[in-house]
Amino acid sequence: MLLAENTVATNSTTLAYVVVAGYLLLLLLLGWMGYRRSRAEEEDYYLAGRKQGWVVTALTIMATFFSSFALLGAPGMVYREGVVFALVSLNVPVAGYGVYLLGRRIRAIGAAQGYLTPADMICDYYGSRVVLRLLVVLVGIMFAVPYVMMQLKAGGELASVLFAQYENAFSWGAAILSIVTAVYIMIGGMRSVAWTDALQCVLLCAGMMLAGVAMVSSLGGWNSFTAGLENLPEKSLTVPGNTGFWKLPMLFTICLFMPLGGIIQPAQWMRFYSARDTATLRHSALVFVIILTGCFLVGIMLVGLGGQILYPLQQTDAGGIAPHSSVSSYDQILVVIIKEKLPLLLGPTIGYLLAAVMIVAIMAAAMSTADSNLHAMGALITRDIYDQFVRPQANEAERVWVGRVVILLTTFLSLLFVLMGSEKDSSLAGFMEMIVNLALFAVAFAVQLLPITLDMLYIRRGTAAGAIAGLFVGLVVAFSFTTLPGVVAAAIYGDVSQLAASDQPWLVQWIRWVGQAKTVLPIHATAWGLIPNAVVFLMISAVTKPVSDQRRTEFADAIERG
Amino acid sequence: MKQRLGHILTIVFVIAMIMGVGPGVQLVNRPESVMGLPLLYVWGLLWYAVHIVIVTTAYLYLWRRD
Repeated sequence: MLLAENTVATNSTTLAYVVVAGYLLLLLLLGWMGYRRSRAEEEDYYLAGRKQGWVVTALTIMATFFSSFALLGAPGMVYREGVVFALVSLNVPVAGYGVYLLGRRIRAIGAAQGYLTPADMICDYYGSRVVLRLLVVLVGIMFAVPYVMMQLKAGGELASVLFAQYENAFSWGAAILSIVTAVYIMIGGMRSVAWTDALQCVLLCAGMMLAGVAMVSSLGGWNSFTAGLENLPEKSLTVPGNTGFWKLPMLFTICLFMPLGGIIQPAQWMRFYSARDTATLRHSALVFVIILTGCFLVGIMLVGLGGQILYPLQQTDAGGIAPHSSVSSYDQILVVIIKEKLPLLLGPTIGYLLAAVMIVAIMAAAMSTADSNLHAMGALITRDIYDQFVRPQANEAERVWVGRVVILLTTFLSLLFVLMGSEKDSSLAGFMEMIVNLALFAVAFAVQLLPITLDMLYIRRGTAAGAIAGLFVGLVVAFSFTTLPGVVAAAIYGDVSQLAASDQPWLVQWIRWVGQAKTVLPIHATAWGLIPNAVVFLMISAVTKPVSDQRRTEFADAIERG
Repeated sequence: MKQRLGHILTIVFVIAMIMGVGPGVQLVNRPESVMGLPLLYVWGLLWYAVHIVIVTTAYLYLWRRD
């Protein structure tokens, strides 16, 4: 009897491996198919020839927006903070409106002027060839690298639970995910990325809803689930959550600005260029708001809440909270439930099969965002740096190959950071503790493009000097209000808490001042950067040379023609 | 007509943001439940429904004419 049960379990585990391996092979096949249809031209490699239909466009925009944040980060944050983070689902409609209201105009101008990257449009409009281009590329790097890092981290978290018996499971998981992703982008470009994104988005949405259903089932059905919720601690059911981080100004600024940063970051910007027509983005916006918000709110958020019932949080000696002893990190809550509960609940065969589908969904979530950002990085560095400043005479085939090398290097760099941060005593460990924190760090920079974007698309009163000064100030202030300066200071100076305030290094004093400012006004770094950015942009634009009438008319006409 | 609808939808959007994730949350910030679900969660579902109405109206009557 025991032997028979072991055989069933072994066969089921094998079935799960086959499903995962089949999925990875399918991605590589799509990469190869994209390669077969591609031409050695930049517009084809980076924008799929600007002929992407609405189904693929909608799915790739959604897949790029929703990353490992959706399947691991969000349930992890709900598990830590409680129901307050479920409200963060309401950031998704803001992004959906942005798909149409910003995306439609970006697409129209991009198609009329033949732009490939965000910097192409911004620098051409403001007439700043060097400084503004470098700043926009910097924004792209500051967004793309942490966003790729969080996807690779997800691969590591997944592997470290599923293959807990192996010592380096985290490193292998992150490495395999990065290799497969880099290979299929390098092979096929935007067409492969969009096709794989379409497949991954379907898996992602199905996985999010399935995870919610599985969670409720694991607790014995709806009535048991709701009974468990009523017994959660008061802090888990109210604002500002268990750690006190999600105060209302923080919640509001994140829900308003995070989605806008996510929708004007370079990878999404290029998706707007690649859309076939305006109707494509209109359909995409509708699907985005209704389906994605629903998957988030009525699907995956239930996992985090149920996680608190199944694996209650622990109180630490310092008065804080910690995950249950069965859960190594908050981000692992879904994977732990998949591994421990699904096979018990549904039997070994269906349980493992469903677990395999969920695992594939998590991988899809991570890979669909990593591929888009790596692909955009290839375009940014090639088009905006290599082509502009290194080898302007390079032909298109050469530039496409340079883009492939950039993709490989960015993947390697991101993987290196993730592996460093996974070490317990690393100074990066705290910074990389949660996937949501990495996402919030990244959008703090992307959203600094908002004043420039709104000006180009709607107002057309800003100037090159205003754009440069505003963006620079916004980036510096936003960076100051993220957690990274604290990490840098700790790495350089160690523990300086015993020193008198006047004896502390300037960086530590600056961080202390920023901490006090955050206490007075607990808004997110996105908003801290955006406020001086907009003010400086307006003030400098009021006293400097405006953009030429001809350029403003060209942009207005392109928008009018759609 | 189109401009008026645009203004109405903008106002509803601003209200949805202020009530859904802004100061309006204070109205329901207590550990109570509605049909077994946390009050705060039900609040989120309500404003999700409002966003569905906004985007569907915009899709059908506003954006189609662009």
